[in-house]
Amino acid sequence: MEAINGDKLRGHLETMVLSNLEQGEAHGLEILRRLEEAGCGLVRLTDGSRYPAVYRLVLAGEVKAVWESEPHGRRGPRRRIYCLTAKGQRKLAAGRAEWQQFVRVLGGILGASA
Amino acid sequence: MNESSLTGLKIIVERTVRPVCASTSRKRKMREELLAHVSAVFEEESARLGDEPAALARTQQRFGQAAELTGLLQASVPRVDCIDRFAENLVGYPSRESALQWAVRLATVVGAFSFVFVGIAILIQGLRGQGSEWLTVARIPSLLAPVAMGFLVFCGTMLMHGMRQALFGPAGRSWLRAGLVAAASWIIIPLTTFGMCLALLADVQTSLWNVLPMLPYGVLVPVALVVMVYVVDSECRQEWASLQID
Repeated sequence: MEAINGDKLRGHLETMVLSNLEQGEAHGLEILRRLEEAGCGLVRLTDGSRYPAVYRLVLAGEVKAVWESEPHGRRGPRRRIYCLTAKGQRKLAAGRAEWQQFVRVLGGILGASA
Repeated sequence: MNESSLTGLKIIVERTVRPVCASTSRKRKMREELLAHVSAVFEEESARLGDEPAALARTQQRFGQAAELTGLLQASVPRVDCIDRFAENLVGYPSRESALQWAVRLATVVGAFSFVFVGIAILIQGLRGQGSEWLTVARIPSLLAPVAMGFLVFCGTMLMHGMRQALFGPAGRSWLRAGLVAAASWIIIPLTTFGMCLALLADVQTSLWNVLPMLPYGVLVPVALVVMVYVVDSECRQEWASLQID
């Protein structure tokens, strides 16, 4: 099956991150791992492209970010841990409803209902 | 991870972050987080490939094109950040301008603010019907305050630059130079005050008596200078700025 790359995902990246964080708090790399796992290896995003989406979510108050206080047996720079806020939960619910409508409408047009 | 790999990772991050137009604090956070990310990816690739240069190349590939990521990061910078940037441009530590330009900029800003404060004070007293008080000789020091403040800030900035060069300059640490700068910073306020007193009173002895009590407290100025140099010149900042990203 063909991989889904950044261009196709761009409009949905923020909802994907929100959905990802619904599973629990995570740092940047963990978000990436979860996305790859959930996409069965077919979701292709460059590592760096996720951060601007996360920053926008933080700015909108949909995701909360805190600097890691414990290094957890790791050396080097601190990581930021992200978690979903109540506003983010609402945005995620709206994003899911929007996606369902999108699939329903386009599925009808293309004659390929999900 | 060896030192050259760490530098390589920092270059990957810096290529993306340096062109972003954002406040220093925002960019510092971006750098720290992205460095944590590429370090983790590098460790992962290093364990898989067993070769650090290959792992570095793979990390770069996974991280993405710097120009594209810069654009995405730029789009994530909120509009309110321009307030921080404005403040930084006004009084912040220079990244590319000379120490002299920085000193002139700071002196102008402080002088202008002092001028506004004096203006407000005159206006308030004028509204109370006491404006004529500002025409007396006793008020001349207050009227000269913006100039004196600007001058002190200019000297302080140049001294701070001198102390920074003495402690962290490319020629290595020079205690003699640091001592000379400390001595100069110790006498700068008493000397300026002496000059102002002399101009007003035209009496050397009285001016000296006005200034002498200041000397013991002046010792605090070099201490403050060294503290400021350490704060401004955090190693991390120098390190990122000196990375060759081209």
